[in-house]
Amino acid sequence: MSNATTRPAMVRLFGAEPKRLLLWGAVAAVLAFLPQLLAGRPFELRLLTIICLYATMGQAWNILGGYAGQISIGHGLFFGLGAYTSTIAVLSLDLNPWLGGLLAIFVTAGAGVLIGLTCFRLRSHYFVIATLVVAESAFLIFSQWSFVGGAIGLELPIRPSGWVNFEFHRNKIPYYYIALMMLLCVTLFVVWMERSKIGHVLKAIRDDEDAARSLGFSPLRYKLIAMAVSAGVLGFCGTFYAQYVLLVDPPSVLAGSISIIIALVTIFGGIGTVAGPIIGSVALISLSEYSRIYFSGSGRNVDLLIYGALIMIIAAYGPGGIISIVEKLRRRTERPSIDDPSGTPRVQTPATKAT
Amino acid sequence: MEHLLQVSGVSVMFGGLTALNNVSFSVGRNEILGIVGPNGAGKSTLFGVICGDIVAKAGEVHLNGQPLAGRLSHEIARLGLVRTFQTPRPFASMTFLENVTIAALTRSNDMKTARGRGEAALARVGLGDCFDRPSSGASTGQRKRLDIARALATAPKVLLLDEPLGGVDPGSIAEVIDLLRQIRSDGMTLMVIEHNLEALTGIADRLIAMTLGHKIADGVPAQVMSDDKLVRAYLGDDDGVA
Amino acid sequence: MTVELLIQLLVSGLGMGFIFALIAIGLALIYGVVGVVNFAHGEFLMVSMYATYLAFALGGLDPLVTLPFVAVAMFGFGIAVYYVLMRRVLGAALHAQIFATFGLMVFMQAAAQFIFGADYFSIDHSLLSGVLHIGGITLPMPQIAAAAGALLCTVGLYAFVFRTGPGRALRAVSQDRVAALTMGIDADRMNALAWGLASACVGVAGSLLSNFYYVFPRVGAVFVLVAYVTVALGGFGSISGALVAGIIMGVLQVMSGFFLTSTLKFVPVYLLYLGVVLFRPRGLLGRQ
Repeated sequence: MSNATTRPAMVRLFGAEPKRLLLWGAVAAVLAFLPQLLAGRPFELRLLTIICLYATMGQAWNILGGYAGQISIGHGLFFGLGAYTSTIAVLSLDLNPWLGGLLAIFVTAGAGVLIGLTCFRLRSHYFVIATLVVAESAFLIFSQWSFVGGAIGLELPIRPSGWVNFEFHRNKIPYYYIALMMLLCVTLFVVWMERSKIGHVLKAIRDDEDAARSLGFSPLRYKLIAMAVSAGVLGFCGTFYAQYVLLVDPPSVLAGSISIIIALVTIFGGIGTVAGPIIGSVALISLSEYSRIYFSGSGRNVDLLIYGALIMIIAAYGPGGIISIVEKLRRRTERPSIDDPSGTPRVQTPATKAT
Repeated sequence: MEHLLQVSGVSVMFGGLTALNNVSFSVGRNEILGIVGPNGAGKSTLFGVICGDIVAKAGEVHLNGQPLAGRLSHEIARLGLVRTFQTPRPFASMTFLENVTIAALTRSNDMKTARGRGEAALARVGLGDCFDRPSSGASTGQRKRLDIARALATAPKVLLLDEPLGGVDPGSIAEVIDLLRQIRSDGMTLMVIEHNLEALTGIADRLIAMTLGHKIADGVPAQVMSDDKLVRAYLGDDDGVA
Repeated sequence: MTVELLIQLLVSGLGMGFIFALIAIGLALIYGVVGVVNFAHGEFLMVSMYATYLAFALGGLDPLVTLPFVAVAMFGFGIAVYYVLMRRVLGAALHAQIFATFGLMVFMQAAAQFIFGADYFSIDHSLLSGVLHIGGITLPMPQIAAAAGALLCTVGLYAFVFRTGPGRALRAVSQDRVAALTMGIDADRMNALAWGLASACVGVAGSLLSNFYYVFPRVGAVFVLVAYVTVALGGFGSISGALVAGIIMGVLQVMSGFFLTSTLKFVPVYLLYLGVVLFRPRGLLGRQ
């Protein structure tokens, strides 16, 4: 028996009971005031900022990878492309960085559509390799291309701190707020998308592309939409990062590891879920940053070591990520309620389709 | 009876193999056309050509006089030719209701309207109590009916059903046949591939018999079923089975 | 561009080509039989190179001597990876399959860097060093030996796959899994065998390669992308295709290394991958 028409208005609008909304509201409030507590602790502030950044990028990746089912392990390309686009716009056209960010969104979304047009017709494994190949090529080409500064990269001009300049020097808290806003925006978008027509069609395409096509949906069109949004968000994240560190070079914005981490935070947290990228980012980025302190010399690849192990474990034992593991535990401890004696579980978990 | 769908001279080659050889027939509005023949006859291939999944080497398909040549399969589905598959293909991560709602979204952009149409479609095929059931655990019979409900939710002009009785338990066959009859009396045109000849001849207005890519008979069930050629095709000839 | 130089490049290319072929054949075997892309394939190469190097640097054992041992060890390693990791993900979602081997790749690369550091090692003055003079052409011994060794290994693999019982079973599973199962073939064991054989092949390639190529943590990554392209070019499930494509790749790569800067020498290779999968998805000799 469907209760679709009997749920209260608030639930239909936000898709959650009032007390859940209160919880999220409380979380949001805490996040908003957190930096005030961390004044004078730059490491923690930076950690939070980077967590928000990767959570945003994970959400973006999730649109294409989790909802549309197109796994890309070269998505960092758009991050780097965005960073370079806005930086070049700032340096050569004297464009305001925010406008540079807007330009970055268009450029990366466009690049995404181009790549999608060529590569979406490829079947699963071939597509994955293609994303890797394209990203790797970009890294190599940018390292050799003098226009973008080659291996040395580009430096952004140091301008007075301020929102107009998109630069903050002594007090880095505004960066955190910007990253938090990015995360909020993209998360709200995904929440909306999940309940909308686009979200449903993307999931259908993910589950069975041919069946979706036989009903009348153009898989290519929807994949391109997902790709454009996904790439565009990453492009702006690139701009953010460029303005954050004021230096753009291939190893810091086009490295393969960025693509890996973006995909990993989502998969670890829960592919195809809203909270997944956030959980994954909190867990993995914290792990990475703290391990960097304790293993100072070879810090960089201790995280990769742990990431690699985590990816394998998640793939083998919990492909749905932390969220699905939690769901499974919850269902095991939950007894069928009086209202629902059949005990059939509500479907909340992401796809686990057998190939 | 006007011809809603016209198939003329369709031939399909897979590599060196002729899957369909110069097949022609027409489907009248509100007709139930049955398609019979042994495995490998090309029946599913025929559906594939009509729905745009397979490109024919020769021949044409017309819907309401409009040629379908060169159109992509999702466009053809939008025009009103919707098929089901031999093996049910539900969207495995979703419930029954979500499955049909998605289908209804081909006709409207509003989630609420689509959901309403989805509920109606499920109720129509007798799955009114399965709205929130996950589609991945369901029985074959339920999944076959879900496929039909999904196709119905797109408000098609012609419904192409590929073995709707395959894997359905004998007790439920009469129900499915009844359902098809109801769908037809609601104004739908149906093409049905089936191996269960007894059930099919009960509701089909006309039958087409195929073997090895050829159409070997075309007429009312009584006529086709007693045709020698069909019997030989099913029992296997000196030419062997494909 | 003299004739001698051209011949030298060609021979060099052929040498690398047979190595590429051997690596690609392993990938093709795994994809054909098990149905997944082994993203960690390059790291198997890397491991065998490190193993060969260590035996040389610490034990004074010549790569030629350790080769059979490396091959056997890699065979075992491949089977272990299959049973411990891959078996669990074969029935699961696509992203689980991709990330199982992808995670292994990340892990192994990081582990190599963690244990050995990012330094480049090389094996000098092994048995197979020095040059050969034929006519006016100077040919490096290690490359020739590698080519010969890779060719021998390929022939051996062919013989196994096409002439033995287990080999036929492998081909059966590769062509039609369901039919093979109904014939009583244990697909699981065939998967393990395929993985083991592929790893052994890549082990031989690594062992031969370490005679003349640097050993470093990312060496696998360098070769595996070429291997993907090779397999795509040859046709994803086809061993013969991998052989032919590998040779083409080798020549192409040596040529572009000569005409472009060394950093960019892989870009034509990557572009070729995109070209192949877009315009001839079947590859040269693939089925599908």
